[in-house]
Amino acid sequence: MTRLARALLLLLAAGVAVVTRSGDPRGQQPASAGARPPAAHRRVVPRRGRGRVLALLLAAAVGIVSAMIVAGGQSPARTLAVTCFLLAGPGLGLAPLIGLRDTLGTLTVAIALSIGLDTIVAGGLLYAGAWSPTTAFAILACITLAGVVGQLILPVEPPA
Amino acid sequence: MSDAPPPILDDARTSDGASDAGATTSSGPAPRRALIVALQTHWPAVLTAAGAALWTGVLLGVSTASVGEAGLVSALPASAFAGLVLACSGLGAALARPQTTARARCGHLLVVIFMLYGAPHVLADVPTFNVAWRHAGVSTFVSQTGSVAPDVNAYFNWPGYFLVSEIAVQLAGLESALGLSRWTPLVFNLLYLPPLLMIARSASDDARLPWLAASVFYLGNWVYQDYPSPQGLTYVLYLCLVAIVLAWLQGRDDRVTTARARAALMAVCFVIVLATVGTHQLTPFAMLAAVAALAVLRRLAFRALPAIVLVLTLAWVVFAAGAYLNGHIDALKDQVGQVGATISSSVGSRVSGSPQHLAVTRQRLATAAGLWLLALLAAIRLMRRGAGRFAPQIALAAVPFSLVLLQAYGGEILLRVYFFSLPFMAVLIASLVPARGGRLAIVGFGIAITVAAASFLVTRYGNLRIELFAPGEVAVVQRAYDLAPDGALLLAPNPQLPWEFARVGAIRQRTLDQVFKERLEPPRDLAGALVALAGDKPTYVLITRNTREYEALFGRSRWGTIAQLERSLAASPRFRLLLRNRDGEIFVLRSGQGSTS
Repeated sequence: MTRLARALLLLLAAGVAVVTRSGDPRGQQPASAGARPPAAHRRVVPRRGRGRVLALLLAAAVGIVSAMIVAGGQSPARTLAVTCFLLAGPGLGLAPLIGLRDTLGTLTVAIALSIGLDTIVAGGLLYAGAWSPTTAFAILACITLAGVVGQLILPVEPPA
Repeated sequence: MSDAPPPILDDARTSDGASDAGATTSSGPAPRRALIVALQTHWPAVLTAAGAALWTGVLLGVSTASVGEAGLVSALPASAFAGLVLACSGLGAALARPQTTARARCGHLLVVIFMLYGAPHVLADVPTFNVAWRHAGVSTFVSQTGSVAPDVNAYFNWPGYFLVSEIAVQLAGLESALGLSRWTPLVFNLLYLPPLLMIARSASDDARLPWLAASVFYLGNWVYQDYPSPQGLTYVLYLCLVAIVLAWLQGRDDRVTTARARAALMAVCFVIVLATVGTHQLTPFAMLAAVAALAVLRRLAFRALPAIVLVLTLAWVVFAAGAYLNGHIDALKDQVGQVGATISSSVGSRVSGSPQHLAVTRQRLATAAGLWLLALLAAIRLMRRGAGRFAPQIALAAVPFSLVLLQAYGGEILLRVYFFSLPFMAVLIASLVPARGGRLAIVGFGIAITVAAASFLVTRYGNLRIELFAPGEVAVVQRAYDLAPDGALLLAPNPQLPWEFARVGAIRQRTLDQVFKERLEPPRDLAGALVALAGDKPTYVLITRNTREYEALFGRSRWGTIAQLERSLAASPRFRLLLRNRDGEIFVLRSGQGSTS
């Protein structure tokens, strides 16, 4: 495992811990508790309920896939988990940030983003002479967790 | 997928004959009454589940040896067809009954997708399809070297799929990409579903149309481009790009998304195109044709998208795929505009072989022509009424034909045209289906879907006999890999064997069809010709069961027959038999350079 991959995996573990402990600061705190109220013209609304639960589940799933990879071995469950992560993970982290409010549309964008980012990250590492599947996974997992953090802390802007 | 309103029980009981459920069961005990009511409401689900269970159970007991020249259907007992009829009847009823929810239709469709695209692969002892083995070899090369070699293999000029595949292999702890190949067609087809539904939804507010269109797509997708391959992966991206544009970037209804969301979706389009240009040669051109057609129709708010696709594609071809371009530029230029030769190579050269294979090929041609004709009729009907929201679908079904102008694509271009136009043809064909939902519609849908599914089994799995490999064939090829030194030459009569999965770049692997460009008339000495071809290279000739089946299906090659080759090698003092098992044999050239050690 390369040094970069190790560093990214450590960052990943820290990210999972932070995300699973953190709440939605703007969604949970009342306005009087010091949270900056959203600008009136943006009509933003905090993300809560199902979306927040799904974000936390995604973070947990990233942690589980990471643990399976680190643990090693070969099993159908590991193959399924890795495949699902590569085909949908990064996209499910980022796509809800667009605020499409359409399950089917969000899923389509998530699939496209996941496959697109997998390919671009893999190609970038290869042509940079730094080919490493572990590093690729760590980068994709960080992207996913960044998306999860974004889902938890960024407000949703409804359609005009 | 929950766009349709939830089912309303009262409506359900009044629309399809289930309204008398309460009356007929009022005298029974409550749990029994509830069960009968549930059955009367959910009988399509019961049919589909029972059909899938029967189909899968029967298929698990089918032997690969029983697959004949007509493919999968020749090995299926009547009980498997009974399962298919049950499941298709369930799906037909779910599509026909207006009260069926989107989730229920989705469930029915997923089960039928599993049956058609997943279950047949449980038959295989080892991964199917020779090209999947070749692709696994390319991924393995990346794993072993951490680089690509564009001069060694054309695939390395567009390595995106192989890199992602190898990442999955390494992270899953598998030995090679072959470990993923069994379920890849099913996974790819599941990934096609969300964008397909969005593409159909963009054309109409009819909640049933997306499911009808998706059913037509899955029953018509016989071209088998969803095996582990770059085109299988980039097809997902192609569908997603078109779906995103049709849903949010047509510039017709700005209330659908915010400006920020539209900007983000444009960025997603950029990511899709960037990933595609480094993964597959043809798909970027299909994307370019699609977005250009939408721009011409003024249905593209992201006006720079065609230019972005064109620039990124050309940049990749010139800078990253230069090695391929340098070696093939003349051949590529010569094919541009040669429509007659392209169609001849795509159709004429394929209509040959054994009577069973001819029957399969003709059914494929009839299916493709039938769907194109139905789509044309639907397009004419829609245009007479003012195409409206169907206009993009009509254009997108037509523009893939422009690819025929580019090149023959190894005689496969019409297959690819069909593949790229199928989602939009499916939407057009679905628009022909009347909106009525009575008993007649339920029966009609069930019969139509069952007939289409049975036809699908013939068209998609018609070549299954030569695509199923025996473990003994793999053992023959593996033995050759174990023995052959670097620089060796491996020869086979035709490409139908599980090879090229290892030693990519280290040894040359060629078919006799590739090395003998001219017709060799018997009784020419084939062994002598191979000795002359080999020079001083250690040379191995591999003959396996499926190379013989390939010859039986497609007829003799221009250089002769496998029987002639075997006789010639056995009689030659320069060759000796190195290995023979029930599924294959290896002859080795006695060159004294270590090849016989």
